[in-house]
Amino acid sequence: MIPTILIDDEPSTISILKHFIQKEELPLVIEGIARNGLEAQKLLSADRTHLVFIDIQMPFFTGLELMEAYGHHKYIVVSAFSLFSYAHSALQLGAYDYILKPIDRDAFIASVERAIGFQFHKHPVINEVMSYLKFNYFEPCSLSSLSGIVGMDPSYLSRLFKKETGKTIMSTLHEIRMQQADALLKTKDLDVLEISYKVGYENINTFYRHFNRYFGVTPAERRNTY
Amino acid sequence: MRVYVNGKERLSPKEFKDPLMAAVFAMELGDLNAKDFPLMVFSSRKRLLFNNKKFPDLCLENCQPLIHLKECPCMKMKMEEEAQRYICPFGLEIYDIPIKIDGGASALLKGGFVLNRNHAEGIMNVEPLAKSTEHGIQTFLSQIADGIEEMIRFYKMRNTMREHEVLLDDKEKNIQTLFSNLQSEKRRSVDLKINHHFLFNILNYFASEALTGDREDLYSGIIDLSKMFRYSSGEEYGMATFAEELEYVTIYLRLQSRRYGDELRILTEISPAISDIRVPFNFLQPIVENAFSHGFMEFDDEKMIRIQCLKKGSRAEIAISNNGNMIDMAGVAQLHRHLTSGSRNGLSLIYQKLEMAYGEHFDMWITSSFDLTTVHLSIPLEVN
Repeated sequence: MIPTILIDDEPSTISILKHFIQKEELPLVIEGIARNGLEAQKLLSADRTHLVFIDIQMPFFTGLELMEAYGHHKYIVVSAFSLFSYAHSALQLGAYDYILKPIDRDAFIASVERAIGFQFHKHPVINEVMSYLKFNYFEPCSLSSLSGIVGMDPSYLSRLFKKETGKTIMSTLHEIRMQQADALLKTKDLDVLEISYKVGYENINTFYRHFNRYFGVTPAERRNTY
Repeated sequence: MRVYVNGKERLSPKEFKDPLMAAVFAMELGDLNAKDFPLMVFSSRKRLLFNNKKFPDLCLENCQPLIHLKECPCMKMKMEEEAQRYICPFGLEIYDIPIKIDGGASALLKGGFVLNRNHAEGIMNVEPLAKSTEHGIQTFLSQIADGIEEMIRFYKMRNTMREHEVLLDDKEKNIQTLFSNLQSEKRRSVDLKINHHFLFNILNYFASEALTGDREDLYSGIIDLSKMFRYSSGEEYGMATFAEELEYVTIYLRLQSRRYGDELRILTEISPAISDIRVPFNFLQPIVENAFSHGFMEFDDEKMIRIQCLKKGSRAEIAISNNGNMIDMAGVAQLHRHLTSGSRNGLSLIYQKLEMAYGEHFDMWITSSFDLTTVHLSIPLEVN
């Protein structure tokens, strides 16, 4: 489940977000709710990346100020203002989406899909696996550990996932890791060994093997093209 | 400025509307009053505008032209295109010189009144005027006439310039007014958005209440309503895509369906090929709304709205029909007259929007026959 924070001084917004998360069985778990900038600051100082729904105009700090200070979260801005300057600033600060009040169900779901990087599946278990992989791809991961997390028999989970998505769980995990590695190669801050660890491979040879299978070139060759 | 001539207060030149009057006034200021022979200026209406009152004794003894102006044959004037020279019954030579403005004679300069040589011979103690002197007087009169013409041209030009100045001033003021209107419109637009902030927060509250109360239908209605508000408070004078306009109409019709339920049937036939064309913002929905406000006014039968938007060659042909109240031929003719009247209501506003976007390259007309009243539009796919 994706750890989620809701920040808004309007209780009605919190209520609508909660309603949709439950009703649509989205793989989001609400870990904190803040009603103003100060409360939000406490929640956002957590190291772990959260999906954050955030209002702009709030007591103490604006949403935009908080986004700038705590850049490691995935933000979706929820505002009644359709002012271009607000939307522009929000997107520049890395917001995945800017949705308007009153909150439209379709716009809400599309924004979450955009933020977590996959389209929701009708089967809630698939969504749960996908969101776990998207948020924890760097952790050691096996079919048995995943089946423990979603509470389902490993072989049943494996078959269900293959049937619904056309891919195995492990190949999906490697795919997510490769996309992350590729993004890190682009920024050129880390060397290949560091990247390998960062995306979840303790053995660099395994990383090379998967990279070559996915991109058809070595990491160094791919970095040279950027 | 107060101007006095011979002790009488006169208008100053710049106050003359008539350039001729201004020129005559300038003559009074000059030394023409002091000349030894008579000088007069008549307007085209035969009014004596200027007179230096230097008539020779011969005139004063015989005719007294200043008193019997109308009886003196010399004071008669005839507007001629060319300069005239004639001799009065008492032997004086008179010169009439036309003052021309814009090619035609519009005033007359009269002068001379010198003794003709042939007549002078019989009169005691009078030396006939030398030919050269006679000629000199004629030249002098011509020069005065030319001078007056010049001045008239000058005053006319100055008047025109002054009118232009006034116009420019007005234009400048207009531009300033427009500019400040634009500024206040911008402020108003931002103000509106701030006020909308309140409105949308309230709608958000209603939406949450609807969801908590398990009223999904109400929630959808609130969302549709707020989408309508958002769209219609958008770029008021800009352009939109046809797809956006159609989406707006769809939301509007969804809300109307909520109200009328089964009583309302909606038929659409839309060609996807025109989704991306640029059209004037908010030109479609008011036509549909017009069908409800006029077509379905006091109309209790089943209501039908049909929207057809088809691509035909390089044009989009749009027809919005309703099966409501019919309009007779006279009514249709009147509607067509109203369309182009520039009034600030209903369909004529749409006409103006289309005219602004497409110039002459569009058509808009209304038909009412076979149980359907239809507004037709034909617009180009490309905006110039």
